[in-house]
Amino acid sequence: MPAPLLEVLNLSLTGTKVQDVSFALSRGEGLVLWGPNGSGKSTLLKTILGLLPPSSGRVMVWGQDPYRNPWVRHKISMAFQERILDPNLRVETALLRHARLIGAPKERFQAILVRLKLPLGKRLFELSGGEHRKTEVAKAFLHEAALYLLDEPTAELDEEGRSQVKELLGEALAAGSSLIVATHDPDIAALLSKRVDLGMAAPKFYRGRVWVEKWPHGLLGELAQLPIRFTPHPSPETLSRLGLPALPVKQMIFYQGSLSEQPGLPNATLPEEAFMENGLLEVEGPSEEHLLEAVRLLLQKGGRIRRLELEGGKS
Amino acid sequence: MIRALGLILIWELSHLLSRIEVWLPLLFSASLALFSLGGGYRTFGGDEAKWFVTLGFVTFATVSGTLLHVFQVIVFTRTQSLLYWASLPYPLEITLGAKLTAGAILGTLIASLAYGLFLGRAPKLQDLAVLFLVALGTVGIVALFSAFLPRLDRLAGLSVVLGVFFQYLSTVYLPLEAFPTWARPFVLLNPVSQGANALRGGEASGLLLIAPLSFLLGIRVLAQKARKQVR
Repeated sequence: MPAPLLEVLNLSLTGTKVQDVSFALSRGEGLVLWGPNGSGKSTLLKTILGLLPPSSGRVMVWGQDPYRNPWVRHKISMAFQERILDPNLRVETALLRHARLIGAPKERFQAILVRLKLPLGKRLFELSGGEHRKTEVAKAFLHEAALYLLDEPTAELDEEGRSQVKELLGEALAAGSSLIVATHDPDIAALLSKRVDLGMAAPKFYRGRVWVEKWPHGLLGELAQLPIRFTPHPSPETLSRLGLPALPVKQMIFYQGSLSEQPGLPNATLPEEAFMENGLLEVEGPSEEHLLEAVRLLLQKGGRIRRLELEGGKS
Repeated sequence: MIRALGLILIWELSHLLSRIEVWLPLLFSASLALFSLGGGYRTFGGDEAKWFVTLGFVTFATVSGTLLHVFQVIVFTRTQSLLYWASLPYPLEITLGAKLTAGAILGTLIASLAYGLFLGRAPKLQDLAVLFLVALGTVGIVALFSAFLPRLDRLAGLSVVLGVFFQYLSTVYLPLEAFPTWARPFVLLNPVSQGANALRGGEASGLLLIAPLSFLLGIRVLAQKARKQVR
């Protein structure tokens, strides 16, 4: 079994609610840190980056302690909450200088500027809170990292900004990067398959089960726009017809257009038709309305369902 | 590691060179001081006195330029925060070492430009090497003192105070014999004195030992302090 990308073992950080926390993260997995202000989310992220030593327990990135071996940060990128770039520089200059320092290709730098619609020409001290947040996220994504640590990436952002950042996160997951996001944003939390709760009840996620009779082609792309996560359960007949391995169903999670696997399983891609014929779909989302929206889309595009069950016994 | 050092060094130098409002007054002040001190000492003590003070003062001018850049511009003021530098995928010792070296290079450039204006020609390469070593040594000593400070931003003030000692407890203006006996060990160990003596044709072996040693130790202490501050 390959070593997990990140292992946090019995980690405690003095002065925070991070006490005896353990989790592991593999390639392509996302984790949300959920907790009230001051619970230690940012401190935990900085510890994973290797800026702070753990009070007890340990953090290992690819089997190495990032505090003792900062070179491991070559594969990690973090968006901080603090304003850490030179405030006198223009947005593009600050990012270009950072790109040069970390050896990011110019194409990636240009693509990020366009993707996040950054306020080019403005100096950093002139930026609003939201513009600054986007600049910090852009700085993090200049680096083609295997692990992104994002501290409140959508705080102070307007709807357009939030959706741009969400898209970036989804693409990073689809490309096989892992994410740890400290956030209070349920939409972002819904993107990520794992959660660590630091002293606050985790956000309510609504669950539903859809027995699909006929899946309309191309629905996948549209579902990927919704903040929902779904686990497909293809029928054994379909899998055998397509010559696909019968993976344990609970270990396949599909969201934002990509298949994510749990550690220890071989890489596999699952074509849309594999689970859309007489299959069962487990859906999770931040509200019941999001789940119904997914079903509505399916029906509008000519799909058919046999049965729909929502959490709490509604069907 | 070398690539990281080079990248940060170039980043910092380009940043410093863009701060004309800092280095131009320094260049002006160093040039003016060389001309007035050189002229004044010659009036009272002839050519020997003129070269004594010129070679002493150019050494101090290097230190003064370096300290100003390193602790007031590079490390703390109006630039990327310490958190930014600490988050780079390089050991903090390398990052801070490269930043401080950039300050030493700029301090050496400013002083040697002023010296070149005074001489009417480019200074010798070996003189530049001596000035650079002095810059590294003094910056290392100031960095060592960071161990006693509650916060790194106090280094800016401390570097001004230590700059006074570097200047007056040295052989910049007076020979060693002019100092009271108790002060002589400090004067001798001062990298400014060692640099001035080397420029005046003396031994440079002490400087070759003290400068790299204090620089490396200073970086180590500064990086530890910076790590604590980032927390």
